[in-house]
Amino acid sequence: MAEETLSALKALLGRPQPGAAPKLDVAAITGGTRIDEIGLDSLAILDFIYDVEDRFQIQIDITDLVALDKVSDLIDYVEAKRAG
Amino acid sequence: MSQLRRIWNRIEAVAARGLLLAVAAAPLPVVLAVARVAARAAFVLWPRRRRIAVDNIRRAGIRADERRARALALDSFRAFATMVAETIVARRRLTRDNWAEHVVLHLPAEAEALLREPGQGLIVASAHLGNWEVAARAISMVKPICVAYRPFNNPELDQVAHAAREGEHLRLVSRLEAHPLRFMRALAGGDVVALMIDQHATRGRVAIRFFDRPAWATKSVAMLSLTTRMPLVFAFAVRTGPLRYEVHAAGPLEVARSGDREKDAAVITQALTAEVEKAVRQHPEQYLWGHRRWRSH
Repeated sequence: MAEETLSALKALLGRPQPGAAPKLDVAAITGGTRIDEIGLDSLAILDFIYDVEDRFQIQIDITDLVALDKVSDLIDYVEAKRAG
Repeated sequence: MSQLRRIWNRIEAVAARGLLLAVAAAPLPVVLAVARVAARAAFVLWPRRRRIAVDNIRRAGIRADERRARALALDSFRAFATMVAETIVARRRLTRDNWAEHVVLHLPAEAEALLREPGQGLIVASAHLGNWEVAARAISMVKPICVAYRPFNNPELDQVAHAAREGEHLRLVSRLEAHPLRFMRALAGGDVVALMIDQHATRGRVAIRFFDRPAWATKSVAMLSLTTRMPLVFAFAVRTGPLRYEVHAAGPLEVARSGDREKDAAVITQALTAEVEKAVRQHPEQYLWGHRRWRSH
């Protein structure tokens, strides 16, 4: 389950973005990667959050979001939201 | 960095410090008189910026003929010089006790309630109209505010400017700063996050129309609103007299999500841009016209 979610998140991160967003090394992202080290800038992370909510049909609370540290935390959060 | 560049950077920073001290110490009428002279000098000696301002005014349809457009462009230069001067003065003179004598808030009831509610995050979109620095300082007296800014290329000068612009509850955050969650953290902490939306954007942008002409604008404000679901208002401060301002606002804007991210961002940004345009039409002499707003790339 966690692997599937990670793959889905990586697929979102790897999607071509409008404009000149910097390319990410998606293959290098693991559950242990810190969210602030994915390579997203302050705008790209907003795009990403929007896409995650849309893809998993969940609503991410901002206070929860800023408390997440690693990609694995995001995976756990997404899965908990989907289950709940 | 070359030795020559370092020396030049130091000279700029020392000159800026001297200017800040002089402006802060001088009587306000003297400061304003010097600002007017400086604006006139810049208008004469900076033909490229003057040309941009005049062209923009004519393209926006604010003034059709060259002579009247030039007069308005000069007013715009004066407004900018006054803004800089009064921002420096305001740093010492606006206090928690007296700020309301200088800045009057004219906010819609809902926006005012959001601003005064402790712990409630609020996104403020603004424009280079009137005095955006004093507006931020005044708002910081009510609620902590985090303002996005573009740092100077000269790091020493940036340090001086940064110190002069920050306040007890007024935090400047560089657009180039690394942490991607910085604005979300501020909102989650109940702060105001203020961003400008009226300048040409080269990336992370959406196509909008400004004065019925195609332009590019940052989608940052829209995306921040769409993802955090924090209330979004447009606000600006117009000058009504020496160190006297009125802050006006529109909103909170209704933000609906369609599932099409870029479309949603464009709709919100266009709505905000329409508010900018409305405000500029009311106070064209206080708008920063000397920016190349309409670019094709």
